[in-house]
Amino acid sequence: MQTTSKHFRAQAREALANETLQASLEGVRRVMPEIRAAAADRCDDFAALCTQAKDVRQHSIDHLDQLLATFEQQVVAAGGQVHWARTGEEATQIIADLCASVDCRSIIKSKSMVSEEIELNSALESAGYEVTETDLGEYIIQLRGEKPSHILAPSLHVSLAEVGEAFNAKHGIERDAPPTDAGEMLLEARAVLREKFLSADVGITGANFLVAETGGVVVVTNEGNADLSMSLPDTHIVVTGIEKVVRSLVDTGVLLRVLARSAIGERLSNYTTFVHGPRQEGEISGPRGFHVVLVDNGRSQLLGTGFRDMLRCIRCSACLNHCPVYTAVGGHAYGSVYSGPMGAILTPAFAGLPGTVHLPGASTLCGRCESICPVGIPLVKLLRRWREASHAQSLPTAGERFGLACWRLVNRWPLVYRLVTKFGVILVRSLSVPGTGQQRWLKRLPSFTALWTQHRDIPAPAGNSFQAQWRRHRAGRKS
Amino acid sequence: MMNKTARDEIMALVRSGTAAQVVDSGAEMVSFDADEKLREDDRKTLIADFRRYAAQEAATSERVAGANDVPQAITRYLRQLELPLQVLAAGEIISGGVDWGLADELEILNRPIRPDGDTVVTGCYAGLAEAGAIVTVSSAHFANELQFLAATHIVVVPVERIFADYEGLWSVVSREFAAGMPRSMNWIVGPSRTADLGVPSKLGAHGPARVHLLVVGG
Repeated sequence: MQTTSKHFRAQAREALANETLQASLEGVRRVMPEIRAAAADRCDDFAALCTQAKDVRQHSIDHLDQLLATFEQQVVAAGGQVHWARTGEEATQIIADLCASVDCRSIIKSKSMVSEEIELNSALESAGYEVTETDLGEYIIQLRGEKPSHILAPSLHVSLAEVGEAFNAKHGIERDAPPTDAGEMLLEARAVLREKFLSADVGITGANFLVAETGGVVVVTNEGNADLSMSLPDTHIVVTGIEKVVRSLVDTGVLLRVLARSAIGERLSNYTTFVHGPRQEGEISGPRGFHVVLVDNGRSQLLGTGFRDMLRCIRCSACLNHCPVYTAVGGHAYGSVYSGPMGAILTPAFAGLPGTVHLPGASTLCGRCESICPVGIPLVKLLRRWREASHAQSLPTAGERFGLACWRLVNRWPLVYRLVTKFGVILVRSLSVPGTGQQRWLKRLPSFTALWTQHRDIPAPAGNSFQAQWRRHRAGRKS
Repeated sequence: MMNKTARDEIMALVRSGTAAQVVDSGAEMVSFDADEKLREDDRKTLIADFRRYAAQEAATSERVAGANDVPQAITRYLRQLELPLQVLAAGEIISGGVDWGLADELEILNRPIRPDGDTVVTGCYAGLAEAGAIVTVSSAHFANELQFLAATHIVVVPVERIFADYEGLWSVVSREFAAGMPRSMNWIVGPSRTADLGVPSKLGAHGPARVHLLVVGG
């Protein structure tokens, strides 16, 4: 998996200065946690529902080999074919070969993060195929030649005016100025993409879940683009990760309940489709070819490690929406198709720690992500685990390691700790300015510490440390 | 040959990974226990909640007494929206059929669907009160893509096929499709929508911009 995660700091600075992005992220901060909380509140016991969902996913991971074997057997029984890909390159080659075998010219795709992970579009385009993304957000970023900045809302960083400019540049419609009205743009995109749907030879979708007991592929969207992608072309190719398999339809229902609530604050997404194989006897429509490409690409390596819990992830994006770092810098800063807390754990696993070492550090470890994860992934523990691994491999910079060494020294010697905190507090308070009441604020710090106050004000520490107050309290009781 | 090797290698890695840390959760799945769960015996509540949750997702609905009321109800709905009084009827609309002759002004089109703009009437396999969703299944008699290509989708939902929750549906599915699942089972709640062009969401992204439910019976 290609990333630009090693440039996280520069990318984050760029993101913080991007006003369009900041306006979109403000919307995420303000709206998404609220609608998820409201959906959870409407349930009598959402926590119990999440426990069920966690159990379903844990069962999948603990029995992955059996479930994959059963799934494969059932797909074949339904007339489909299953293909296995160890790497992203193998997966793209399999899909290109399948396209070649059906004399394909044009391909329509619905949103699939695995296809982003393996860079499927560029591989297929290099092989000479026209590939059109049909999720509107994916279509917008495809027109702009960009990567997704959110796993659910890939064009989150693009303003409506920029969408209009992209449509104006690519749709070949003669007009005086780019469209500015969202309704007009929707109709335009619908008309352009409807043509693509009707003429495509191959439809490629991802999968939210795979159902072992029936060989079903479950795809969830709000636009309905996946349904058109998998029902109109003559060949349907599903590309997905091996960890998506679950035991049964009943288990799938449990996951669907937490997925939509966590992702968009709804009971259920608008379209949930269970596909079982190709066109059946007597049917007059539906694809004649049905292929499932199961991608490993590092997933099986996680099973026997401390990062195994991450395989429970159902890509709901709730952890992104609740993360103070993601909602400050957006997805592109991470330099990976997977961003936010889940991305900061998955990206080093798939792309290697040396080039992605900043990502586990891109967290305040506040635990908000972990508290709302519908499948109970211990995200904070896993972020810490990557940090420990990076330190063990001496990957942080010399400055960072020096800083940690100093911190360790101060914490090992109580006298040093007391002196440092005492004079540190005096120094920091001297730099603060009065706020309301007793509270003082740090608005501008000197030298390199200015980075801390560049984008926010920080409350100044109280005059006395807890230890000093405790000593005074004890002295008072004795006297 | 390469692919067989890939399968074997992946399965071997998966087996060694699962064997390394298998901690069977051992938990048997239990049914949905939220207060949104509906009692199957309370059909009025069931229907009301089905319609309420569908409305929350921008679907409209209407109750009609029987299959004979369906043509008139469709005519009224189309006229209210000033849409052409023409529909494509896809698959079996309701058990026993619909007497389209009961609505003189309504034209049942006998042509392929146009790229956009048509109204399609379908039946459904089930309704899901828990989510306000309808469930359709593809078959030799039902080309399921029509419901996505339509501009307006009118769905006839017999009350006796509305299930309280997903578990209720699966229990019927396991019985009725014991010989094999249909190629495509579609759960649909409300019209197609997108939030990629700003908030609030815009309806009619790819699929129908209007979904109207005719709840028959009860």
